Amino acid sequence: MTTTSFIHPSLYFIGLSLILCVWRGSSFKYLLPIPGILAILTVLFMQNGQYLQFDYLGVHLTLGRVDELAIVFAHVFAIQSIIGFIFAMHVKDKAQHIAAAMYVAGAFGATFAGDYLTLFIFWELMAVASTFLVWLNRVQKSIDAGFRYFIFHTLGGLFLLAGLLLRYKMVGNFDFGPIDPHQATIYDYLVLIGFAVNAAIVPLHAWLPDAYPEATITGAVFMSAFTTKTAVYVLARAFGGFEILAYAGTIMAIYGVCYATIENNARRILAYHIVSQVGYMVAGIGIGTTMTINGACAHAYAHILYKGLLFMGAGTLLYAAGTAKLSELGGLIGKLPLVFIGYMIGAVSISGFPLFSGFVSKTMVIAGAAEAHHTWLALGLELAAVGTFLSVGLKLPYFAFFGPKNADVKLKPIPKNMYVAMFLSSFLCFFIGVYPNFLYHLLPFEVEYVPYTPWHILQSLQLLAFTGLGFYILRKKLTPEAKINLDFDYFYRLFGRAFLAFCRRPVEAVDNIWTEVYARICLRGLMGTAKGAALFDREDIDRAVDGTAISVMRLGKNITRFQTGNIQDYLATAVFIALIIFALVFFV
Amino acid sequence: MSNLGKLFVKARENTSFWGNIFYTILFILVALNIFIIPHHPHFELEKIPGFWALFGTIATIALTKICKGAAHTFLGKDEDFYDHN
Repeated sequence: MTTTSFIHPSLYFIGLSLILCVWRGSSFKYLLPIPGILAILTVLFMQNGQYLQFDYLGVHLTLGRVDELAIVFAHVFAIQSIIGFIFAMHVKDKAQHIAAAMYVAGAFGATFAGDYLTLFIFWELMAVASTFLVWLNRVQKSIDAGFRYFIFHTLGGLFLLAGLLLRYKMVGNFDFGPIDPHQATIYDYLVLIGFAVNAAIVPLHAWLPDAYPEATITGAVFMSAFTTKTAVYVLARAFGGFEILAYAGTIMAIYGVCYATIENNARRILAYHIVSQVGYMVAGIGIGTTMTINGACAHAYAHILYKGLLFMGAGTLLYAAGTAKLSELGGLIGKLPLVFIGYMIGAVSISGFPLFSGFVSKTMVIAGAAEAHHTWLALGLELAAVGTFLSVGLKLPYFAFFGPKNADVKLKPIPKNMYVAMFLSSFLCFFIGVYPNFLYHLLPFEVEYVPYTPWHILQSLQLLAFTGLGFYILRKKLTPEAKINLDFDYFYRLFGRAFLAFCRRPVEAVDNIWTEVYARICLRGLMGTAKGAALFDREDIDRAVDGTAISVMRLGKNITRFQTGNIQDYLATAVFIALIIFALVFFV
Repeated sequence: MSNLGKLFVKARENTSFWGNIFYTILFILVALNIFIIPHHPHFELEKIPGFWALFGTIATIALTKICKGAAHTFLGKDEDFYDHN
């Protein structure tokens, strides 16, 4: 350790989850926002440098690399964790809070990781913890979606692992830093695929709109913020200037809004918009100028806040009405006016209306793309901006809050903490919109871009207002239908089924033969030995060993208690044990 | 229903009033474009007043038509599609 003046923010969240494990009663809810508050204070006082470095098994690990890039993300992660936990304060299920806290801890760990190995550990912690946020919704649909989500992230994690191990073999270290696009080789691309899974780059994105709508109401608010944005952070760290990302990002931006235009479930519409908005960031990183990388970071910051707000709005609708399907909602404006206002602030922010956060970040990426002479990419991103306002700013609120039919749904009262969280997010979206320097000061490079020029304002307003006109003309055609839309997950499932069939037939046959061999030869041998041992036992040491036998039996019973056969339990235990080992290695 | 809710419901009934305001805004935005033009246009077409208005309208219509078309022909499936496929 070089210095002790660095406290890792992950510790606050791991601490919270440990305390929650033993806390009795429901007063724990007041603890929830505390780690986030401590984290933001810690981040504000951080000095650039390398902290918490140590050697383990001959590998040099860095847990605390602090620089401008890490700070931007840590800053907004801390703020969003406060907001997310306030939004979740009414939830009595402690497991959900523990999962969320571990998930946030993973995100902070990945953000400050200075080497691939540390990154990988926290990366996987995030994958496991977020899977629990899906499973803990505790309906069959979520359990299935959680498994698909987990399998896909394991696959992504394996690509990352293959890349970093291969790299270690070739280079001899785990240093995690910028990669020169002209000298990238196979292991760099393997790492890139691993990152691309989490960044939801098309066609590796389908896990996102599959799993997020099935997560718990409060879990989805967390998930919308951390997984993809951690991936944006690592891409910005290592893969700036990879031109393939510029095109991939623009495709994502348009692809996401296309699906959002036809989707029916409000949370799935928002999930597709994560794909679309992360597309802007990936494109900015791919173009790789200081302006576009700044734009990508700024957009990530703004995005976490407004996307959290939108998920809170849609989540509140789901909480109150019991459904997030637009075809079953409608005419809620009179009953939920405050939710409408909160949601609309998120919607105008994501659409890039002047005075709101999206305007000061999104236009930076687009202008950066145009100035780097990527005119077609800039136009593609403008097209995505039109689609964003069309589906999130007009279609979703129109059919949920206004809508042709006045649905007579019974509404559950909404807890106050949900409103408080939405208010905080709304305020920040507006604050960044009117005072962009707050955000620009955090960015890794000097900002020369001025968002509020007459032309920028006019151009944005014109684009958005005429999108409104288009919507007004075609609003009947956009009526949501009670359908689902095929996406690339159709192919994932096809592949999954083929793999299952492979396991069922050839592998099962081999397994059957092995079981037979085992039963005939090994078991008989074992039984023979056992007989001998029993004889010996009865004659000689029965009395002496009685005590041991009883304690072994007890141990066996206790172990069977852990062996529930549920992968959920095994995963949670594995993470718990890993944490203990990690703590032992680190502190002893 | 809260007062705010009543206000929204009342405002919603007044469609022609809001429609007129909306069209006026559209007109003003294009009119302003004649005076406010980009100093460094990213491409030539951007200099034409109303380019982004046209872009917005056409893009919205194209997106709606293409995506809804795709949903109606091959993407859209019943909600229980994956239960038996």
